Amino acid sequence: MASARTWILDRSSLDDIGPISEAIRLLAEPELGAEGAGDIELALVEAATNVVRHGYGPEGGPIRIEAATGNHGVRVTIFDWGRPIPGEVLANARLSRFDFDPMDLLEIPEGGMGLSIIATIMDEVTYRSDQGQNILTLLRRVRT
Amino acid sequence: MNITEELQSDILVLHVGETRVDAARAPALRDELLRRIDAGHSRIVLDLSKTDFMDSSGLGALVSAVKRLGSRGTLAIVGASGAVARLFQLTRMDRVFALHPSVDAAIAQMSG
Repeated sequence: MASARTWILDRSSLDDIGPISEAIRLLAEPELGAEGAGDIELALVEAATNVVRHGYGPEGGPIRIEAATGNHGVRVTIFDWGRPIPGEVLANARLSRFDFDPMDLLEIPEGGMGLSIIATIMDEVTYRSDQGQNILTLLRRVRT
Repeated sequence: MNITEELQSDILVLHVGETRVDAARAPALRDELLRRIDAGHSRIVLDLSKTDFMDSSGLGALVSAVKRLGSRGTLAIVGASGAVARLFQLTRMDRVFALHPSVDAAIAQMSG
């Protein structure tokens, strides 16, 4: 059975993200199972954290999160009106940050892993930045 | 950051009492770990068995600790399960951190 929910945050802060991501995990679980739902929770947390941390300044800003389930799987869409993800960062997102040499401490990433995590665990990721509005779409399909 | 600790010989065991270690909480975990390392602890076991969710911020805190320890120390992880275990696998950080099912297993491996 299809369902959809929307959350609108006026002045988003990091503390807002956890409860919304847990609600999305519960929404997604019947469709995707525990691991798939956990993955979409993680992807949403990574994406929303990036918006709060990098998209907006310390005063925060509005975020709209939509989650929709259906036979296709689960789609989560994040709208924000802050700084867009820089093109260079997007281009590098699909390069794996995770092929580092574990013996070389300097190579192990301490940050900047969010987009690579999203790219790894989501089946489709799209990003559009248009007239001050940024839209990130995450899709995780039902796997047969 | 809710953490309880115990010392087993020279091994510091830190039990994380948070169910979520995310961007809001990771800085406190990072600070806690670095404080202990700077105080001289070089063998640390971090018990995440109460933690159901961690993101890359939490992982970054652990990586900061490993870097501060350098080659002279060990940070072992206990109780990573479900989504937390998955995070270590998908980021391939299970090549950096020894993951153990229990504190006893971690201590046994570090003492052997």
